[in-house]
Amino acid sequence: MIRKSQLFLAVAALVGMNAAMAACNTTQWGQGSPPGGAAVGAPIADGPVNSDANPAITSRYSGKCALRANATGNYVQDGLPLAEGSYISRFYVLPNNTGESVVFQAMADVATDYPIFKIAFDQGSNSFKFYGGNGSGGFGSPVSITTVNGVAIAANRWYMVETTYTRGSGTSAGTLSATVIGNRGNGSLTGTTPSTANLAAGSMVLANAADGVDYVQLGWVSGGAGTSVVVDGFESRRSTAIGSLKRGDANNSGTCTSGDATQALQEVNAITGNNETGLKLGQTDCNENGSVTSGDSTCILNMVNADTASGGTRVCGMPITP
Amino acid sequence: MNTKQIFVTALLLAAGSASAKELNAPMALEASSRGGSKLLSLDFESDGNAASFSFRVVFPEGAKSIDTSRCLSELPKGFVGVCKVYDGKVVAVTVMNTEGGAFPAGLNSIGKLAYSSNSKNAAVIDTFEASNRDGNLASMGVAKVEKLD
Repeated sequence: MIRKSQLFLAVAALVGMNAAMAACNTTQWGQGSPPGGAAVGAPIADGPVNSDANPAITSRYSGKCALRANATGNYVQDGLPLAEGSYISRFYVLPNNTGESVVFQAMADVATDYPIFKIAFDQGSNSFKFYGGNGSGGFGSPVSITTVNGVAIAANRWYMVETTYTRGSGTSAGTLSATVIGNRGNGSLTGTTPSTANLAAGSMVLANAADGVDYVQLGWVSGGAGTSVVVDGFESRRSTAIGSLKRGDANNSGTCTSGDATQALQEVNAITGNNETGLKLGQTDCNENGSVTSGDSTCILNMVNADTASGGTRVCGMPITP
Repeated sequence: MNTKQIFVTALLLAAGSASAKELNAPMALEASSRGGSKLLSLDFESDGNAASFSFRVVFPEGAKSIDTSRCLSELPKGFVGVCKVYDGKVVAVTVMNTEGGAFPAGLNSIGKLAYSSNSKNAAVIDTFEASNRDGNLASMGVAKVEKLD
């Protein structure tokens, strides 16, 4: 899928679907020539059927493809940022690692490159951890998010992670605000409140005051063991919060209707029949559990029912904001 | 066509809303009995392509004892749905076809809602949408509740 916004910094569709080749790919990564290129290691662009020229089967959150890493050190890079003093990014991650794995890292591209901040999923504590760099390759103490709407974060479930980095003046005034939402299941039909965490000034140190985000890494960047890390739905900007994609919006129309339940059911049929062309372009995994089944169609039907009851004040389970 | 369908069709014709090409819209016929008991018969007017829909029934002030046990009891084969009371005064009805089919053109029975109220006002249907077999929004008519006193 491709995300567009007038404010976007990098339209880095996680993985695309080449219509002619009918294959998932990573051709939109590597823009801005990040050190090491578009992909490090061998991350797999793939979807939930094996008729997409890749025999693997990979969950995706939106569109037809996602990016799967089966071991640490497999990730993609986006080099469009340029010493950004303000950097907002959003991605989805389905972590199925053990131990603690870095799934996102924002880098300064200087004489000796170093991380400004990183995001990790720690399966041991079932938490997302946000670390600020110390300006020389190390990190300070993280802040963590362990629950979403009172439910403990779990491995092998989809979560949206959005962060806003602000450099400030000097070398240690940088801040990072983080938001996580996901794994809403079949019951959270009237909206859930994202969980937040913040790295305060002093938690991130730059080597030089003019340093900023020059490139980012997304996937299974480092650390941990286990089965896989799957990422999807990446977008970045300089300003204006990005927000979550509308779960259950199967046809990606921006709203959820009874027709999305129908489309989800059609997709279940397509997946069962291993038919790539039948995959929908929106977010069919309503319960965000990593697979699209008839239960997701029921989930959408219930969510639309709750939306309808709101009289137009909610869409896809979330309040409509002006 | 049963008596109720004939009656609703007659109402549609009288209102001038029945054209050569039918539009998709929820319809309801509200019957009252002594003591304030009311029975709302829910129907769906289909253009022949609608495979799913959702609408809201807003009950008059003071409505109580809303019974949804027969809300979806008359759906045609192949359709499933959700009928649920919210905040004790609103019912949302959402229906879809699980077999790739659509509602036949014309009036289709959905089921019945029972409630009690001393209000002279009838329930209102709003927040309505319908989609076709492909899951795309279908053309929509005007939802209507008629009182049968």
